[in-house]
Amino acid sequence: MKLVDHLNNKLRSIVCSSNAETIFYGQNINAGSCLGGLTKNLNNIDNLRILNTQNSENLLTGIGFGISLNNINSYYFMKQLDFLLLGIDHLVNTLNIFRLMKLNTTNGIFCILSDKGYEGPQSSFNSVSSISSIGNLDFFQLATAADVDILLEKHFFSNKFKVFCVSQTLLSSNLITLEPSNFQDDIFKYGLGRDLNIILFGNSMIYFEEIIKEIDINKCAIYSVNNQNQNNFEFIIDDIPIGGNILIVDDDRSLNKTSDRFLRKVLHLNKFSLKIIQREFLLSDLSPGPDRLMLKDIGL
Amino acid sequence: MTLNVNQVFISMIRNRIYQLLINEKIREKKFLVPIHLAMGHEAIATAIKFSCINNDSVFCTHRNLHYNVAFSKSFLSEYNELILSKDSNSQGKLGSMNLFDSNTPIKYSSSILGNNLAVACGYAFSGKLGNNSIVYAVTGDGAIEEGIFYESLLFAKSMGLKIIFIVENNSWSLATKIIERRSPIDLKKLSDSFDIEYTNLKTNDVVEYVNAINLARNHVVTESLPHIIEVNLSTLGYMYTEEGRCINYHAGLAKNISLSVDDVILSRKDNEDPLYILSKFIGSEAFEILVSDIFKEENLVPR
Repeated sequence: MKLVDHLNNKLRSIVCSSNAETIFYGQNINAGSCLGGLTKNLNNIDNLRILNTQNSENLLTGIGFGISLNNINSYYFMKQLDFLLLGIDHLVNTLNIFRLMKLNTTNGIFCILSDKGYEGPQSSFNSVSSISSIGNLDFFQLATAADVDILLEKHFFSNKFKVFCVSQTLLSSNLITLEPSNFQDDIFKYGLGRDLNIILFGNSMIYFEEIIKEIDINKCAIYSVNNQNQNNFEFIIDDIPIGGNILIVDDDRSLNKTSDRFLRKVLHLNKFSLKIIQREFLLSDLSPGPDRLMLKDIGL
Repeated sequence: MTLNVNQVFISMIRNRIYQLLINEKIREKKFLVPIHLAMGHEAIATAIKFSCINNDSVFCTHRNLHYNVAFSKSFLSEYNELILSKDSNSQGKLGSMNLFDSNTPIKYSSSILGNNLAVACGYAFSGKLGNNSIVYAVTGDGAIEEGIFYESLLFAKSMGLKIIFIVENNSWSLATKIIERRSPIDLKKLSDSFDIEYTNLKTNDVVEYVNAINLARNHVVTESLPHIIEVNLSTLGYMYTEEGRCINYHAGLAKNISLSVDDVILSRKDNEDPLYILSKFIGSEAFEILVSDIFKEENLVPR
């Protein structure tokens, strides 16, 4: 099964089981490929309206807030994370007012991050931590079966504005079904070993399978930080013994990375041995090209 | 709908007096928040107040005082908001440019040009307006330059939203007149291009405005289609330099205006002042009586 199918099934089951009145809207979400299958077969759900809209991302980001004033939930599905840039005003200013209102509904964004490479420099934006930071909002990356089953279930109808984001690469890939050995808040741990602790930030779960092939998952641990608004890393810090080896991988090109927040918390502790791989903004690195970190080149 | 015109007149005069009073409070430096007075805009705000029925709702801009005052129960409730009192409806958390009271038809106000249009469209779109309810989305000649105005018109028409866009056109955006910052926009032609009904109001006659809005409202309700009402008006409180250059009023203190029975009418030029239009309609004597009564009722001591 592909991630997109699992996600699509989960969306259907969450909406059906909640009975909450909900609207899904966005460009071409109920036509053609339905965003590569993400929003297919969602008609005929009694409490769900699904709607194809015009190409007006600023407006579409904002209407979700208006919808919530009438006690209806809504999600704006967008084909590419970049669309969200046109609605930044709402992620900051409109959201500030609605935070004060404390409504009992939710609205949010569901988007796909273009990371397959070769689609050109205007498909290179992956600064998920910047989006999260600018509005101080929850921004969840969904990469595995566990992410979908646990995070989506927990947060989909929570009374907060949030963004769910899926890698374009992972969406059409086989579903990662490895179960977390433990999790706390929105941080998942895979594996139980102590030899090496790998912490994945931003969109770095696209390297998960590559990493699994290179390491022995029984001797190592991989932590995925799934919410780019994460500020509490106690689960990781307390879990790794003193002197533990940590490899940080952050695929995010932002100047304001979630991994930087983690580093600010651990560096002064002087507890761990750290290796840091963070994506920088390099013109030469922009798509068209593989548009990804070459982990082998940096000695993983 | 039977209109009690006396109540309309009183409401409009009260709107002006409250704004004059707020202006005095600005002079006394009572406020930390920026205040955007809307003297000259009272006719449209009053007309919308008396056209709002059922669960109609209003979405305002940063210049929202005339709407908040129109729907407010008392001067004190507005004053408390503007001084950020914890006793105010919003507990002092909204300030002035985002001021609204959800216990009134005003559901949202935004300080970002055009931002309220998206929220208004979303509210209208949710399909829970009820059969006989509409949305009023207020905007201005500056905000219609934003892309979101175009997006909102397209969305409203495409989705058959029961929404009236009220475009308050005072020709100014901060310190530039239309002619200084852009080419003219023929809003009627733009409306026609979307096949959206358009009405232009420019007489500042509040009774005419109430009738026009009710007509538009009926059309919106029966046809489930949006409507644009462009209101040409002046934001009073402007001044002239010695060289004859007009300095428009945008925000803060209107220096040359004071609170007195004589200053309730601010301009007798053309159709600029809806209160002057009103005084001509009902006669100056009747007008002065209404003004005096409101002064007494509000225990106001004119400057």
